[in-house]
Amino acid sequence: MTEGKKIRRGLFRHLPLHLIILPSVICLLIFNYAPMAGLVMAFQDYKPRLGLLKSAWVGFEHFQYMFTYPDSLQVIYNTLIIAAFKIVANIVVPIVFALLLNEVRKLVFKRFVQTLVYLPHFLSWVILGGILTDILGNKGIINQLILLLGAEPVFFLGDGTWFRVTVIVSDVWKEFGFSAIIYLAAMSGINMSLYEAAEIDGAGRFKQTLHVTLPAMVPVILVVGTLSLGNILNAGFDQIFNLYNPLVYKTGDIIDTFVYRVGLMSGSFSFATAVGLFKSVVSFVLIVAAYRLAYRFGNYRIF
Amino acid sequence: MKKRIAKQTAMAIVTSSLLLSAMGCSQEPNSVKEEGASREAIITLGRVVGSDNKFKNGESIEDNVHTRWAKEKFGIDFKVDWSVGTGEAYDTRLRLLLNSNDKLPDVFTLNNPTLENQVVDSGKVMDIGEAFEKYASPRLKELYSQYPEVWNAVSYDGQHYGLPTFNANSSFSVLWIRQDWLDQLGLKPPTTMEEMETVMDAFVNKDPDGNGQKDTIGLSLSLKKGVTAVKDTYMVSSDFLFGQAAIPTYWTEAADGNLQYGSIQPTVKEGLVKLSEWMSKGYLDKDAGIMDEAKAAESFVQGKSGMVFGPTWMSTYPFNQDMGFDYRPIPVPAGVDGKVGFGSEPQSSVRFYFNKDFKHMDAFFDYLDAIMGPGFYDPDSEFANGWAEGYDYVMVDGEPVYDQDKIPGGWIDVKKYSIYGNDIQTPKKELEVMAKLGRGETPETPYEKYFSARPKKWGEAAAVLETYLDDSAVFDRYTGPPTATMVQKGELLRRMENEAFMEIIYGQKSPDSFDAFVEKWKSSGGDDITKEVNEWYQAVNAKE
Repeated sequence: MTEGKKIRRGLFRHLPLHLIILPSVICLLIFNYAPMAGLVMAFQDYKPRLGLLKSAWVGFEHFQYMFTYPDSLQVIYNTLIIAAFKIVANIVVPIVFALLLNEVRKLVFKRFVQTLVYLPHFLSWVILGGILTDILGNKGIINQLILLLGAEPVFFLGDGTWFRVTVIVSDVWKEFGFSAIIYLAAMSGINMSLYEAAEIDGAGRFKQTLHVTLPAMVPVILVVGTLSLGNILNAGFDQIFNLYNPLVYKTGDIIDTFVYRVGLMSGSFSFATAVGLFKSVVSFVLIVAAYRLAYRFGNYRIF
Repeated sequence: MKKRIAKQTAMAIVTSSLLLSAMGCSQEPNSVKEEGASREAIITLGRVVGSDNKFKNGESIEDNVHTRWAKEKFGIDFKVDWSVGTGEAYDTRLRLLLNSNDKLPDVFTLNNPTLENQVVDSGKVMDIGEAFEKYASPRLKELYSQYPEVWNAVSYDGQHYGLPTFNANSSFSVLWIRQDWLDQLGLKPPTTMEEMETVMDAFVNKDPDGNGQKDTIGLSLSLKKGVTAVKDTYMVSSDFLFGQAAIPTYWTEAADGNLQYGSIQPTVKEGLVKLSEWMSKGYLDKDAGIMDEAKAAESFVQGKSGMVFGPTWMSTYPFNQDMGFDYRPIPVPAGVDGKVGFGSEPQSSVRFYFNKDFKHMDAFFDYLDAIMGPGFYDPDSEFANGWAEGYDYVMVDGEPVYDQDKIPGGWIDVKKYSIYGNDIQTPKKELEVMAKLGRGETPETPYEKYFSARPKKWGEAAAVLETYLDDSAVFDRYTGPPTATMVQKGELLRRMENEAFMEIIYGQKSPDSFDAFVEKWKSSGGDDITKEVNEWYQAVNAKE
């Protein structure tokens, strides 16, 4: 039997399964692929009343504009910095937390802590924005503590340097508990006999973590890392939008908030689409690159 | 396992068939009919039917107590072409209709200048000048001739392509002040900037709340959206301090009759210097720059702030019954130019537009006059007591009762059934009613009786506001769509402005950096915008 025949027979045998998946594929085509036609807007001077077919073509004008706009390099830089720190911190902190939690003996305590730390994930930034303004304000609880320690109050949300720190730390605080779930799951899947073998070889808890737990988690870490690289240009619109203010535009304004102000407030759809397309292309390239690297160095494949 | 697959298949099939049927529905046959002998006017509409639109007695948006009334009284048949859940979706739908060259509803409202400009550009809406002259009721004509500048937003080459509706212009703004602190410190309510500084200084440094700590501020302020007036910052703003010569972000008429941009005028620099001084002296909350309106108002509500500038309705929100101290509304003190002034809410926010092929303007204007009865506060209006008895009020012993529990079948907001979806206000009429109540006069008309349920302080504030509103409200005279340069550079300039102003207020840069900002603003596109704005201003005033 040739390869082709084999595949064809396989297709036939699994026909019902393929039919079952069909509606989802159709939905995917309709909702995820069809709208991509709208991307041509990025190369047009799009006017809603003329539509996609009749709007004038302008080539790369919007992209050119994006890179010559006085603030855009600053904005791209801010986005990269904030997103990069968030990506690294959002991988490292949950792993460390998961490793520590994994060593906890008391099951009740473990469950309690786990529940407690992933709760913030479910709060929206609109609400957290208000809470953070209170906590981090000049008369907020954090600054009261700082005053007690004899230092000057810090203007967390109004000082350029501190704003980035605040954004990154508060994002990690909100998400680390939830992100840790996937690592905890990976740990529970590690074969116990590996630990026994390590123990027989004389490894303590720390050595066991280093030589058994961590290596076993590498594939998961690689997947999460690869996928999160796609977010290198997403520094978190919700969060920044609810926290930023004119005092911190220089360090806190990111692509998304910038596009929101330029594109949606003044109705330049083409420009907004161009920036969106630019973001997607960069993210796509990064994901492919990271995937290749993961395959080469970690021998890891998703597909 | 088998069962689960079957279930998922069923789910998938249901989902996809729902999708298909939803797509099938969007093509409706056109519903244009010829006018009959006696009036039978069909008006097609697009509607917003949100979760706050409630129905009872088996009614719907197309057939309810209000539409039956319109049918009976004016022979109008409202036909709902389509309905969506939110105002945003409504705009999107209209955008798509323009896009796909489909039929626009006969009558629709918009509050988005960019989209409105596109709608008029498409040539699909009616020039209503003639219809207005012919069919508008006398009181409508009088109202519009009283405020001719309201037409600017719909004027193209001197023609009127839509009908602007008015805002109430009844609430903005007063200064709320802690009377008990004034009494305790033996001070008078401030009427000038100097007096205001004296009062703030005492409020901050003389421990008016008597707790032995320096924990009070003079004035609550929100600067999160920059130094702006009600158009961006709906309360707790700072625009009163700039007086009348120029309001930041507002376009006002200069001595030569041209429009000029407020934020670059010399008086704004003086105002910023004041704000910066107040910030360094602790009159303002250091967090003003990061607090939005609601957050900034908290300090006053919690009794930690001596003054707050804002609309008369602050007495219902954010103020509340639990504020156990004596505070009251006072007239706004004169600003840096020696005059009392503040940025007003726009004269008009929503405009009616009409399909070019719409044939029943007579019916529309009859209907409009009737539903504007409450907006004119006309005691003889059939809607004086409410929109429909048994829905938003009931009559008990000849008096209207608004208690929601007493209405059989529950309270229904019938004004949402009208084609405007709200009361159509007329300028300052609400203020008159509230001010009358605030002066302690007995409520007579149904409106006065209805409003007497509002907090007393609201009425007091209205009575205060009425004394100076006409002389002090500064309108933003640019009401057109964003100009070409605004679209391209508007954000850049606004950001530049916000940063420059905040740096001055927080003392990071000297007040003289204002001059550099003005130069940069002009050369980075501000001059072009000024030119475009004035071209627009001349065009709309051309054939008046």
